[in-house]
Amino acid sequence: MNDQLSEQTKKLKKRYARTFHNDGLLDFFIGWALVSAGIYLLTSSIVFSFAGWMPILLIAPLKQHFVIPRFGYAKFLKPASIPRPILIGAGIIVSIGALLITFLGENQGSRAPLIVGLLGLALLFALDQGWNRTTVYAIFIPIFFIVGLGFRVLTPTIIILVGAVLMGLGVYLFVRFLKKYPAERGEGEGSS
Amino acid sequence: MKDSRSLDPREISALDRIVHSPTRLKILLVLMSVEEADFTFISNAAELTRGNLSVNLSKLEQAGYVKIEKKFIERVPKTIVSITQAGEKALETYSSLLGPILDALRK
Repeated sequence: MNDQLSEQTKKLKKRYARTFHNDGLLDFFIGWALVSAGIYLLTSSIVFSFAGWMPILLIAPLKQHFVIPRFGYAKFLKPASIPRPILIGAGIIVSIGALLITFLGENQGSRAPLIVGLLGLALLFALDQGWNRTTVYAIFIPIFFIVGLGFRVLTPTIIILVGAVLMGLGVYLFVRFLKKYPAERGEGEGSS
Repeated sequence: MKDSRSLDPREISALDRIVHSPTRLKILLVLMSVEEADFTFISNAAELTRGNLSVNLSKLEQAGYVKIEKKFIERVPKTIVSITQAGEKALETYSSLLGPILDALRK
């Protein structure tokens, strides 16, 4: 395949994959896991230690029920390696987190909004740049906990709040997806 | 018009008419970027009505550029479309022929 065509199909593949996963389910369940973790820390109720991850098992059936009939089914080619900008971005975020811990670590409590704000901005920037959200969350969640623990400010309330924001984002994306891709009445046979 | 001496009209005649249609070109590009897809996905991705998609997929299938088959995906029957090697080759050839033509027109 010539370079230009190859580049175009790579871009298209990325765009389709992103749209396919832009249904908010992942965001909602990661948010739910955080909310459950926060409630578990508050109440020590064993129910919430399970409640956090169990609904993640629902992602596949929900995708099957809501997403595929609307957006359609596609089997994507083998995933591309992580693009360099993501690696650089992750490096910058980790560096910022490490610097914050180093220089601000002694001031506990009052720095919480700053940390959550910075991480939130980093998250928004990454999403705005069209990064794959799975990758973004894979970077964001560990940093959230590492930085939070470094500051000793990771209270259950903050975890619940961040989780609630992600759940809200998930619901917003899900509703937007359903509006953009209304349910099809038929499968569109007669194509052959 | 500016100098376009390097443009040989025979090159334009060599363009594959099946691929040259914007609708079919969109379909082929969508299929080139996935391993396989169903009717709904192609319709959404290429922004084509189902009727238009159906007609043009038939033409592509007749040319041997796409393969259309019935498959069960998660126990649901679906019409699955994938690009064939001939389709890939046709798209590559079209791309490599069109590039110089466009370059010549820009001169």
